[in-house]
Amino acid sequence: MLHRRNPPRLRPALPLFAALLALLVVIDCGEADPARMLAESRRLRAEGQPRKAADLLARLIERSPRDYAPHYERGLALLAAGSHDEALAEAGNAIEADPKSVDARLLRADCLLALGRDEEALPELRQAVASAPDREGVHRRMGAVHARAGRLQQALNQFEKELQVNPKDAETLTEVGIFHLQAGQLAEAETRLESAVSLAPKSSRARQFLAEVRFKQSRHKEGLDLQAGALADDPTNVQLVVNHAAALESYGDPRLAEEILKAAFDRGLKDARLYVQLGRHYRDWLRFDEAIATLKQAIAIDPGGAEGHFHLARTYLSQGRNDEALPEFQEASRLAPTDPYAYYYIGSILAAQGKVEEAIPLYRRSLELDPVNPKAHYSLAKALARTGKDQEATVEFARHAELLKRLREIKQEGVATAD
Amino acid sequence: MRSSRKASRPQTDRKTDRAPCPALRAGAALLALVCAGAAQAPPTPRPAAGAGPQFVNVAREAGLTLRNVNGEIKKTTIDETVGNGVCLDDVDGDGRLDVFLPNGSRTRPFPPGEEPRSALYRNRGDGTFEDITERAGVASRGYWAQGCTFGDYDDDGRPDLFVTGFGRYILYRNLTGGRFQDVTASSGLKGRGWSTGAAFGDYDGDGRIDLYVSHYVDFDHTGPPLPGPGTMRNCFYKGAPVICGPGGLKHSIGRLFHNEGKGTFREATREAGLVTVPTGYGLGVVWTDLDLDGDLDLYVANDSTPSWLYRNDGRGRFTEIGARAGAAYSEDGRAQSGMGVASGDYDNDGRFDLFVTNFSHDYSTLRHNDGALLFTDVSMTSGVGVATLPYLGWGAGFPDYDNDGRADLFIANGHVFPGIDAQHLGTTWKQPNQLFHNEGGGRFQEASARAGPAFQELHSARGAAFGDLDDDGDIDIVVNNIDEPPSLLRNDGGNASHWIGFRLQGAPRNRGAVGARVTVLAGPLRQVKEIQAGSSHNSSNDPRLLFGLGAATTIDKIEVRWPRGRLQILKGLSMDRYHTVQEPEAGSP
Repeated sequence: MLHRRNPPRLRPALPLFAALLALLVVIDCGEADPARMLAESRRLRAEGQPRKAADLLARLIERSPRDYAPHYERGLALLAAGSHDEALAEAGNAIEADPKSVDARLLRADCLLALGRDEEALPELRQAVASAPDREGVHRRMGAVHARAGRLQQALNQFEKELQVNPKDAETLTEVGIFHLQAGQLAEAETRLESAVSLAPKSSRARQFLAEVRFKQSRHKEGLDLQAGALADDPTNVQLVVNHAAALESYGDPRLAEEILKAAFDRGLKDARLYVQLGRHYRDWLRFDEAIATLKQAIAIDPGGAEGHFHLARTYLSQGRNDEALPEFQEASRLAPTDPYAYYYIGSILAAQGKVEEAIPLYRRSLELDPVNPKAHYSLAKALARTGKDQEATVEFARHAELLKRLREIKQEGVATAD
Repeated sequence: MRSSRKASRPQTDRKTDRAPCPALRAGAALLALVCAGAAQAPPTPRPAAGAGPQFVNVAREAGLTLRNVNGEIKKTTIDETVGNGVCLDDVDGDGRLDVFLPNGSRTRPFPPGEEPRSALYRNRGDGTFEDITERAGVASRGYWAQGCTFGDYDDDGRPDLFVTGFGRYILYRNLTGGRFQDVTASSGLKGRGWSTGAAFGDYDGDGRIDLYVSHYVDFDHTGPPLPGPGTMRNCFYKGAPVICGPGGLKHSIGRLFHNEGKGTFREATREAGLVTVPTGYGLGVVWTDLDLDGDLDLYVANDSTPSWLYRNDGRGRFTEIGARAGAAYSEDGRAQSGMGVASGDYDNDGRFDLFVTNFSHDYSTLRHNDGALLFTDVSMTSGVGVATLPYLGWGAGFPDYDNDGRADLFIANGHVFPGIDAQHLGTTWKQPNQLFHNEGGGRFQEASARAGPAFQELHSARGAAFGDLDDDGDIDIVVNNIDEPPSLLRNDGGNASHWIGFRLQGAPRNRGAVGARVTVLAGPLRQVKEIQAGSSHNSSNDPRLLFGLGAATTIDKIEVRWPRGRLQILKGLSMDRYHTVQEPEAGSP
């Protein structure tokens, strides 16, 4: 009887239990829904927890290993987490899952770029362009690759193409502006960088280079203000600190340059570049003992940094301490063998010691690396004249004079100064 | 100059040698007695007293009170910044060194009768000077003067006066007794524009002194470039708006005038090869025989542009070899802002070295003459370079201020931007002058801090001239300060060592013997000096040559090489006095 009486009670409860179970699964274990899992991973990534996002997506991939989206999203998360190799593998998986995906190609390219494998990234980017010519960001990436490789014209071409499809891309506008600035095309640089700053007022890079434009336009106050604003938003940007300090030396209150560098130390920045800049400041203001101590600190922080040795040598040289300057220049040259200026100074010291014949190849090496350095042409010319090579000397004197003339023509400031 | 601190001089003779110790202050009479007694005694070495020579600015007490005017006090245009020189010579033939101070002016008119004037001060011989400007006829009221130089262009035995400035030159012919006549119009010295440094020298060996005049900027007083928004690019210094130029302004070409005799000159710039393209902003100039070939070469310090070294081929033609010689640029090939220039043999190797003052934050440049017209920039290794970095130098010279037989260095300093103090750029409008002691071995040590109160004063100094104003056997210095009265830096104690001085009289032409070289050999010292008529900044020095003899107690040999090459050996001359030396007649031994 009892058996017979119970079944009727159980029978209507079964569907209810199943529904309840399903509901519990849905409520408790959202990852069971791929869409929700993907959404959750994106949220985590956006909130700065890319590693958690990647772990969540790994579980989704276990369940659906051939789905495109989890691989792609995980690749993005890993890239954001700085796990570039893993990200690259996931990008490959995503491409395998959907060979026509432009996003996956771009992801792979970004991974390669992050790994410094620029030249491998280029084919991916080209494929992306072929598939989606109007896709934003592709030409910008290609431009960056070319710029890093020194293919400046190709870089500019790509940046310009990017702006055709994405005219309000502040990042690209910034890069194009920088290119024009470095090419001496001031008006073009100004236009692009002004647009970039207008579109992305908080971009420290855009403001940093617009400041450089302003300096070249003799609008020094505006340049200093731009740098100061960028630095306020990006106070750990060591290069920006250094640039601002250098600009204050030339165009502002040099005492402020010293303050800014010391404030950077107070913020915990201990980069050798800051010490080098402060050492240069002391040297410029004839505080040689402080300059030497500070530059020695730079070397202690970064013994392999050529700049510290170079400027320590320059400081010795400024005091006529050639014997102490020589080994520092030689060390700077060993550390940065493509730096033309160390060769020049070593040559100058040797020439001053009467070793003119030894100086000549050093001047020549310096000029191989920087053919438009008037100092090296002048010193080489003098050395050639002293060693009886009159015809060669004449050529070098002429080159020196011509370079000075050109420098004078493009110089943006220059009263009766020590330029 | 004399003071109670100075050592006495044992012998005198008339004309070039005067009683050395007249009373200037209390105690001078006693000193005179000491001097008189010493005149009978054989020369004995005298060690330098105490801390060495002390320089005291006695301009006010001596009566050198002309207040310099150079535009407005708040300078806004470059014409207000270059300032004036100082020129020294004996204008009235009394054997004493007189002082001429050219003066500037301003664009804004002065009330009638209040225009600035230049000033000629006659040396009374008692440590004071008499302003004889009006009677001498050299006031040049209203003329904005810059530089000056004395030279006997007409070979009448009296120094004439040439003055540079804006719009024209002035040539004053010395009539006699310290009276001058403006003979510019009849002289052929036609100049316009902005002339600065000037120097006499017989470049072609015809016996007559010729004239080179530096020109600076082709400047228009009616529309000068001004700093400010939208202005030219050359109006900033380290970010601060400042006076425009000279960069960006038009150059003005320096000029050479050949002395044709009979009081006239003819411009010979182009035919002599003195046109260099691009040209420079010319300031300091000196005629000096840098290659010891017996003719005068020309060195011109240019501001912001390469300086020029013109090699004289001896036939009146010049070749510019500054770059090749290592005399045009800084050691690293930069055009510096050359202001004043000095030529002298600081290392007693018989060759004249070069010194050029420059802008602040740059070093003043000492160039060693290596021979064969090659120079080495030894500014840094000599110890001069670093010490000059904070200062903007103008007048300069190689006075041996302590008579130790080695040429020392003096620099007159002052900035061009009155507002520079507010910019905190490590330099100031008023600056101390600097004195460097020659330590030997190619090294100099700054001696300003121990050289007396004059080196503690701050002025915006410009021209400087060197000479023994009180004939006591040491070099005093006169400095023209912008917008202030001048400084007279009396050398107290510089004559502690023996010395000997010469006034050379050429014949029949070049009576001032400009370009003559005198070599004195005394013990280990072999010194050579040259008579120059124009150098420093807008200035000219005592035409006499004074040699300190250091520890030497006898003179071994004196050689005079006259401008046209004649060599004269002098013997038996006594120390501690000036000697007048006549050029031998042709045919005499």
